[in-house]
Amino acid sequence: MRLRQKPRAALAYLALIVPSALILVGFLWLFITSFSIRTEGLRSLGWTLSNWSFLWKSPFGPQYPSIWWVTLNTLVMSLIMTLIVVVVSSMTAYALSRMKFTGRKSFLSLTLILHAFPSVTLLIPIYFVLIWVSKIPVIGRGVPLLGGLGYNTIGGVALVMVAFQLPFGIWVMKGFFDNISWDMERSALIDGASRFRVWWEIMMPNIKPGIAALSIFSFITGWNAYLIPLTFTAGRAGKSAVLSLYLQNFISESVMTEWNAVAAVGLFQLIPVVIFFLFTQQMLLNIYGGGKKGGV
Amino acid sequence: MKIIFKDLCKYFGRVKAVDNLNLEVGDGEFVALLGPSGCGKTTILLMIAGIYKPSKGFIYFDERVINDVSPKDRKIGMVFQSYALYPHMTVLNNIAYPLKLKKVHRKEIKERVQKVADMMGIGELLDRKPAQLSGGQQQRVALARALIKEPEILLLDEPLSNLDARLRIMMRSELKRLQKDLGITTVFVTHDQLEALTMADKVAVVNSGCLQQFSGPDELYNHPKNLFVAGFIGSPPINFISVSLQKSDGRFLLKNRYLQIELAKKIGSKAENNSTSSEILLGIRPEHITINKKEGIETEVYVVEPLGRDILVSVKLGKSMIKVLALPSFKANMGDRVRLNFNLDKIMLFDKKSEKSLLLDKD
Repeated sequence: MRLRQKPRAALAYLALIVPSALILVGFLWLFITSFSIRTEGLRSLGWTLSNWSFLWKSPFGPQYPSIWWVTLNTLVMSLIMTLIVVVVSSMTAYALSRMKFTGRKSFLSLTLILHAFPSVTLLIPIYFVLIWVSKIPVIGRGVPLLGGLGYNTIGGVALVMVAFQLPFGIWVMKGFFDNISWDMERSALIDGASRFRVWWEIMMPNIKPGIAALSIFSFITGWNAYLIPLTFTAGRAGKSAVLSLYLQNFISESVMTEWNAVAAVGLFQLIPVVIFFLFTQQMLLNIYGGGKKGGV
Repeated sequence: MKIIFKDLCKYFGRVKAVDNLNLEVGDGEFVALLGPSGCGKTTILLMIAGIYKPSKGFIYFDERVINDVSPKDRKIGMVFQSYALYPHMTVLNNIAYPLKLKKVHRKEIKERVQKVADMMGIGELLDRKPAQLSGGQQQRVALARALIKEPEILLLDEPLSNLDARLRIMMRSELKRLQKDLGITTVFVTHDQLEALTMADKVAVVNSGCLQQFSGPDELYNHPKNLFVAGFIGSPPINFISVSLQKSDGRFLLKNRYLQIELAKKIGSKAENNSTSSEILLGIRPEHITINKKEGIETEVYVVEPLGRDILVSVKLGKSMIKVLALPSFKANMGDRVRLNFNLDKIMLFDKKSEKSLLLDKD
């Protein structure tokens, strides 16, 4: 038994180590490059901190927003998106998991189709929708911090992100709700709770791992988003730019790309996600484990 | 409070879970719904609770139809098989939850929780979480939560099935005592006939959604209305023997290849009047057969199983097997020839086709 198990374990480790090492080399390059004047492969040709100067002064001139403003934008966009995704998915998923109503099945399959739908094809129609929303006073483009919900606003981008994230969120949350015993809910109904209280006081506390997993996942998706912010904001120089767009400033046709600076900004964008991930990876695993831990 | 079912039906799609149920549970009665798994007994309970709506028919609480009353307005308490405690709340908050929803004053909640918890013997556990309790303690918490509302009807779904054997016997008597002390109309669901017979005032035997018999434990055991009830109640189970009922010279005889029994005239004529054919089934419980080596129906010992208080002897009569409860003093080995005597006062006769008892007065 033991003799047979050992080579098997070794094989498993090998299969994990090889791809991990490849990815790790990439990160290592990123790290070394961001602190170097130039690099040859993984070898630094002189260390420097100058690549990080974007932290205190804008490398593109004063008309561009500073990195901190952009970071705040990204944070607000990710948080807003996460909040809406979690609240809406968990309410929708509860209804889909527990209630009978006409159209439930078709709603579920529609959500699944939307999840698999190539979102790129919707970019242009959504652009027109956002332009139209922009014309609505106040909520269009007059809200502080968010900008509003229309074109070229943080709120607008968040809204579109939410729309694309919801099908996934609903399915994940439904999985967690499905795993909670019906008895607990029935018991609460008999105890005198309304449907809303059952959802809020009985169900939600018991799917905390699911909520955590979905929040983290949504947050990371928002933080890393590129295509949607790129399409629905005025671009990298605008006041609604997010980190991924800011990064794009470095890469242009007219000037030589400073890869060391790109690496530094990339690392800067990466740090929160990595820290976040380190502390929460256990919960993230839940999301793909079918939410088994979501029960009792 | 009385519970009355009138022509109650529940369909799930095409499946008839409950079929035309008519039943009356008296005020303060302790009633068991007994039947095999999937017979519809939990469905009935959930209809009383208001979780399921009847497809047809009515449920009355006293004179009031409650078909469309929501669960929280029915003044019921329910204990689920899984206990369904709220895992994220302490025992205190679990028990207090129904009162909190009723917006009872905090001080009063505390007093009432303490009172009911002391009654259930869990007064010391109020700060714990359900996961830190044993099965028996969890059940007491569930009971306390059901009772704190001072419900008029208490519903128990398989209340004892998750407990270990010893605790089950203890809780059986405790539940019975509690029910009598509080006088709450109680309906409980079980698939365990022993639980039903020992605890309930009246037992409703249900099979495939249909009520088979509704009577006291004694009646159920000694005068089952049909083959299903006779076969379902009793452990070790009743023996059924295929016989033909014959009448000669004014005497009634039960005969087959291996036995011949003379029936009392009263029983015989009743059976003859009720039966549609002379081929009938004789039912006799294992404890109503005596076994000896001298006189009676001749059989052969197949196997002997000591049960402690008595021994269970399986004997072969032709091709069929008959189980007999004998005193521990009875000694026999496999293959021994033994003789059986049936207690004629205790025999039951059933029609083969309708499966109904032939000894009941026609309604």
